[in-house]
Amino acid sequence: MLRTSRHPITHGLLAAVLTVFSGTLGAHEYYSGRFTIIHPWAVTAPAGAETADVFMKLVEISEDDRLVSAQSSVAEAVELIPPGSAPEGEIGIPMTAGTNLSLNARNGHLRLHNVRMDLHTGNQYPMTLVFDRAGPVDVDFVIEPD
Amino acid sequence: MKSRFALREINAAAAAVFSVAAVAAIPVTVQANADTGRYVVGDFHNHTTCSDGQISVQRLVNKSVDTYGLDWFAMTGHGGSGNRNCILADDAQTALDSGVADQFPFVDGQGPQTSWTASIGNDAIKGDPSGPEGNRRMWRWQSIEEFQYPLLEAMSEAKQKPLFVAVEQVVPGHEHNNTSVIDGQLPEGGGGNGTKTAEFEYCFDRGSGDLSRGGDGARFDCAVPGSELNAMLDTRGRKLVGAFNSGELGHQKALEGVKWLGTFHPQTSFFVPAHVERAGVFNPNGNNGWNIEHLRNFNNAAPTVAFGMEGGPGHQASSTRSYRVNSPGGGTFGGAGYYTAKVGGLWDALLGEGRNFWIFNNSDYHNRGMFGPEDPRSTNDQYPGEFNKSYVLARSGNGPLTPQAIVDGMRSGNSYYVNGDLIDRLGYVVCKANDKGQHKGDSVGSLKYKNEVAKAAAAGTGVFNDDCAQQGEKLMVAPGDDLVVYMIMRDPEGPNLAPYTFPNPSLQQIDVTIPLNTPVLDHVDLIGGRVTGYVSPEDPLYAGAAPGGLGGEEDSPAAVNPSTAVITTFNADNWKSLPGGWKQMFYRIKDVQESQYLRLRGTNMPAGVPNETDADGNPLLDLLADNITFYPAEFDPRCSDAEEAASIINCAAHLQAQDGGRRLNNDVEAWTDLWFYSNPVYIEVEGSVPVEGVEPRNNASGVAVATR
Repeated sequence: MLRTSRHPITHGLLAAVLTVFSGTLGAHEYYSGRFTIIHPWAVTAPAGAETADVFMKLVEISEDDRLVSAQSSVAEAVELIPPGSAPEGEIGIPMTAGTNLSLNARNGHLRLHNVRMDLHTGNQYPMTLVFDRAGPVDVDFVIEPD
Repeated sequence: MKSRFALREINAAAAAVFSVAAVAAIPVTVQANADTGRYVVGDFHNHTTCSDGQISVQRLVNKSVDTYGLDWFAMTGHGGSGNRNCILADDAQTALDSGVADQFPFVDGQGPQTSWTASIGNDAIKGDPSGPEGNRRMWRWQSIEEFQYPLLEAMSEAKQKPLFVAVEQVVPGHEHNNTSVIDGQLPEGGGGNGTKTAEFEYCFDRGSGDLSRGGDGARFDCAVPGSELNAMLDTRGRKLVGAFNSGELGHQKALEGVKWLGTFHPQTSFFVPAHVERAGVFNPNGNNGWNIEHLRNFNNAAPTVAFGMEGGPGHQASSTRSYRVNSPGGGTFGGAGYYTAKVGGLWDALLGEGRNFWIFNNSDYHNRGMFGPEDPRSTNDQYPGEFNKSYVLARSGNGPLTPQAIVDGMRSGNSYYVNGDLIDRLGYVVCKANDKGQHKGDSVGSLKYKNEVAKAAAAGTGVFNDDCAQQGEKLMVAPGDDLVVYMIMRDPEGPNLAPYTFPNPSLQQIDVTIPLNTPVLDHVDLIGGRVTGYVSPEDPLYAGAAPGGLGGEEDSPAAVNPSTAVITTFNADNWKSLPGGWKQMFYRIKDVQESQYLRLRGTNMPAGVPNETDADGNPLLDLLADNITFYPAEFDPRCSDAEEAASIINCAAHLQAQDGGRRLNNDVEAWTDLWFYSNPVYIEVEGSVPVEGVEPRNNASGVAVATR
């Protein structure tokens, strides 16, 4: 029953282009009981990098909440970058029940400061997200090619 | 501990047992026409860059079947879509090691992180367009059918092992499920296809937004014959969409998928939900976990397809040993999910009905966390065959191992799962005692089948005897009969695959010093419960969540079996140790009156180990291991130097500093606390409750089939 395949694959001849994995439904999820965190990710960064941004999606938000802080052992500090539209003085990133929220450059995201180790493509690293109501949620963020 | 290429050790293992058991003097009564089968080790839940894994198909297969010696491998990956080409080898050596470099060569400058757009071009990507022009996503059905399957088929030929394609379905209304449809896969003579697995994914994965019916608008059809829901199918896509991808309606769509499998592929597919506790209990308005009624619904709808669940999830090297605090029970217990680990819990409730519902474990390999693919350490996953192993009895006669034999073996329930090579052989049967009236006192009495069971265990085969039943089978007995439970297993000598040699930190708490990579089986529990029959869907006890205290909620009476208990425990005081690491034990059940089931679990953890086991030997929440601190520097002074320690594996410098040492966590924790679980043997007593989910074993066909 085991024999030679007759399915040669023709590889494209386009220039080698590495791509960022775009997270999809059902992949790399974390459940808080009040919302689901989809695919936290960052791009490659060397040890000593001053900053590295981390993105993710928050979906199926069933109660209002707020991401108020984060920590990671791979960086000296993690800063919450508020949404561009946030009122001055607002703390953290708000989450509204019944909505989905993409943490990106526009909606707010997280920023690692003083990265302590090389962040390699395909690896994943720990981070604790702290929410006002849901409390701490441990996740791992995946590194994707720059 | 010799865990690799186990099938090649049969002769030596058999010799070791026979030398002490004098088997040759005992006639063996295996029927001439019975295929005793053999236990084969595999994995059916893992990932590459086709979904959210780190490496190519080639590298994952090379690791699984070459490095870690799996006998079979089913590649999954999440349903939905992906933007990376996972059949591009990571490097030239990976391609060479795949054995198919002539057909799937390494492409300089490309690899498994390369996009489909950049590697094959957008014109070759089928179905409704998804993703931006410069980074187009490929629907999973296409990657299964046109890329993953052909590569797996070629590698099967090269490696002479069954490598077939499956999918980790993103289940409507729930979380994830492992399914393969093996029709068309690895046919003799070649030219096979993974089309039916692709069609299932297209039809029933909530991540699949494609409506192209396989690209041409006509190939795939998701209707289930006779279903009322056919009227709700999207007219173009011929599938349930929209509201059918969440909550209660999502469950109905998931159930349609099971019925579709049961209708078209009743003997050639499986539906085994993955990490069933991870996403919490069922959420009628979202996509979360599973309650017992959902598992009952699936098993009722297609018992030859929906016959089990992942009792032992993957991601065992993650910081929480797979689950986080918001899963039922609050996490894993000795690496098992709450539904499996709780004696008398959800799994026991299903077994108490007499269902054919079995447990398996898998790697769920994605990556090694903060380490690269070649590093022996991990903060996330272990490779297929490295830590979690499911042994399945496959019967393929004198021919090669086939996907059909594997799926039949999974369906049969004659399987067990192991962490960290705690054991690598198991013989477990229940037999009629045949000496009632002659037996006296508390002794076990006649052990007529002792050597037959020992011989089978040594050879890694099943046991076929009309007086006995194996895992997944039922023994038909008369009221008042006596039974003997025969158990023999091998705790393999030498190291397992753990990269650490310092003393087991958990055992050090009780002043026991055993190197982490040479675990020792401490004890085995024989667990039993009564069979009280199937619960009707109309019965209030059919449905209910088992949150295990999550949110202050206790388990529903629908999801427990109060009759289940540890019947007896075997350890060095009452088992017979035989050369080669074999442990042999027996138990007599006198005057049996009620239908029941018996199952085994075993561990290297004694009862009462702080943060690991309770006084009765039950596994505690794995998160408690965070309380354990160990001190690698006590065994290697170099570990005191932070810079030097980072490059010394045995320093475990990747673990969080705690109280001057290291917190027991991640892969080290997993290797610390090892368990195995068998599936049940049923006993049906004449006049008592029938065990309806399992047919009496038929030696002629060698297959016990659930036909209720």
